[in-house]
Amino acid sequence: MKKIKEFLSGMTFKQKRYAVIMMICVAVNMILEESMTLASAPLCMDVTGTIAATIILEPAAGLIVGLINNFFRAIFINGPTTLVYYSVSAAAALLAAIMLDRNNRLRFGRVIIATALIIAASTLLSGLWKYWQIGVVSNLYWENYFSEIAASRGFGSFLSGAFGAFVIKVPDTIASVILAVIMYKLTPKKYRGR
Amino acid sequence: MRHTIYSLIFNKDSRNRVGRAYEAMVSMAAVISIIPLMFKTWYPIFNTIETFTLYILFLDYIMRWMVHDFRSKYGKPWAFLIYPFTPMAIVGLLCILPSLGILVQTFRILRMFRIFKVLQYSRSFGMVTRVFEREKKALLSVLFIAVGYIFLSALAMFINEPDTFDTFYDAVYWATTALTTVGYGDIYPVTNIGKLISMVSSIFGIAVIALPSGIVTAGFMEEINGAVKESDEKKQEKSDGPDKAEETETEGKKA
Repeated sequence: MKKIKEFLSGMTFKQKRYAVIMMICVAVNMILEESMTLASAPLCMDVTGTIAATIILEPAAGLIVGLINNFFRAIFINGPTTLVYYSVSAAAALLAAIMLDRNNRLRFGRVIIATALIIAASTLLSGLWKYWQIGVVSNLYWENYFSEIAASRGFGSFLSGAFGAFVIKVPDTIASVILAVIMYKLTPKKYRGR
Repeated sequence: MRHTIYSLIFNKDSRNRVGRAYEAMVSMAAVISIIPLMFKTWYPIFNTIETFTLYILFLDYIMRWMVHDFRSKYGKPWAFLIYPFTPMAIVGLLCILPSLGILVQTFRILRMFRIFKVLQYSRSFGMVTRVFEREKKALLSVLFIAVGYIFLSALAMFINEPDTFDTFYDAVYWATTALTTVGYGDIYPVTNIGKLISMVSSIFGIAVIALPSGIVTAGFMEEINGAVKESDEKKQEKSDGPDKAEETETEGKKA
């Protein structure tokens, strides 16, 4: 305990700020993901904290937040193969940086572009990994539901999987981005930026 | 944040306790992750070991990627794009891939590359790498001679004893074991000419094997002496520091 106190007292304000915000972002990701699963909602919201960490702090923070969440999922749910899905959070963390201009301010037009790019990247990556690993479309109920609709219309297995992922990713990413922007606005200015 | 990560991984001189702990953590993860490979049966505990060690190694991979622009001679976007193609990044990725379920079971052996993570943080390995880098030309010349001789003696043997050597690959295998003086004895020459070639190969092999050993040893000694000299100079500077400061102070008072 004494050593922990010593370690914490040795941290600068910036380090403490990063640590606290990143921990909050990890918690947000976990709480939202668990809530959506419990509510059987057709959303995941598991990149909200990752996007928030990127726009409040920097992309490197978003990348670390995404990895921590991915690690917890690997430990408690899916095992080491979960790591491939880190590419989805990593893409979200990197693309979310587009939302900020040179002066680290959010711009509406940039937010729209970043959201569209995150949807495209996450659809492609999660669809690809699921197809590669499982061979079938998905292990999530809602993704399966929409994939089956596409499959019944004669789409191939990869395209139906991608369609299922896309239908889920559109509202999911929009909701995640809105929440992340709210978190950004709620964060006092002195706690934002590098 | 990226500066903190950089000093955590690379800045060895000013590395604090956290840096040393990080280095120990990555090295330990690399060693522990190899343990399951020593068993034929896959026990449930190995899944937990695999998950923890995999994430630690991946964290190291991703953090090195994040700060690659500080080390690379290229600018910001290019440094990040180039990183996955650097030798250590390729090794890092190869040792992670078998655990992700996207490669077939045959590639499980690639996990052995994880030991390079330990070497990556080892100062001695750094010294050996520098020696190989410096003596590159000499070592390549010896390698060229050895490969040339293996090829020629294998060809001579293959032409001379077609019954003993079914394929040219067998002949190359024999020539390599003869040159390195290993000689398993599973394939051996039966004609007089073949035996003569074998004797010459064994004698020549001693010289060829001794050459790179000598080059590397000499280079390694030079490197160690350099490191000792540097360390002595630093110690001398430290011990001179307070005295020199006192001298300057006294001179100042006199003036």
